[in-house]
Amino acid sequence: MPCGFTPLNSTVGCPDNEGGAQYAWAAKLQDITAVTVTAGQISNFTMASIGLWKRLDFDKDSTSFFNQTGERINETGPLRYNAEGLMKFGGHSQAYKAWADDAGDCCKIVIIWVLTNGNRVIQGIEIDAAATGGFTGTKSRDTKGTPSMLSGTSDEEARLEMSIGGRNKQLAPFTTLTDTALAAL
Amino acid sequence: MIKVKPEFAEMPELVTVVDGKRVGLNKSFTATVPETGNKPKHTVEIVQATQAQLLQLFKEGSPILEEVVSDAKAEAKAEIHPLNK
Repeated sequence: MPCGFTPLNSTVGCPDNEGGAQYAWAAKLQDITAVTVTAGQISNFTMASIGLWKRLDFDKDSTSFFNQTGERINETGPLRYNAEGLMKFGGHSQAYKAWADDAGDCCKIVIIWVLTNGNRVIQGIEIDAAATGGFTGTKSRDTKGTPSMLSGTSDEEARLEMSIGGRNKQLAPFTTLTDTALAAL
Repeated sequence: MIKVKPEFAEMPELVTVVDGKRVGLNKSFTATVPETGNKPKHTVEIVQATQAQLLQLFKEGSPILEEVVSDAKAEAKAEIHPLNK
């Protein structure tokens, strides 16, 4: 990306700045064959087969997030982003164990976070026009999930937590794909 | 003519959406959708994209498609090429 600044003003238009995520879509990186990019956002996927995007409806209790924290590894070092998301599912069951065992086995995953403000941002993928299919996985560290299944105490909530972490060279791309399109894929 | 690039042509169930409709890129096929909380296991027919749909996907920037000159046009071009005179 070329160095440069353009004007940016958060007080114009009263942008929706509520944090958190509503729900997500998940797929394995290897099931994505190509991405189409329109004006810097992913506008379409080509998939290896149908039905490979799975919708994840986690608890809406102010616990979910998708954060990207920038860092430089030394004074002149390159910029990279530690990306981490969390989704929480209340309960403690065999069904949760089975889901967590399968999801935790995936080495490279892609999560479309549907944020509370309506924007959709994709963790686990980087746009790269020179790469096969126009994309790569996260370039600095693969994106994968780490499940934790917690009974807690009787004063706490039993829950399954899925932490998804990886490291990008650039901030995660946004997508214009709707739920209808993702379900059709 | 718009075609799938050779490196993607051997993937029989390659699928995408165009105008909100699911289409197969290499051929038509039948796929089994596993059971979910809302729907039982079922099969769906995926229809191969038409040339018009491929053209639209190409114009939208799909990196797996390419424009190729048909054989007849290629032959005509070769005939008038200066090196062939």
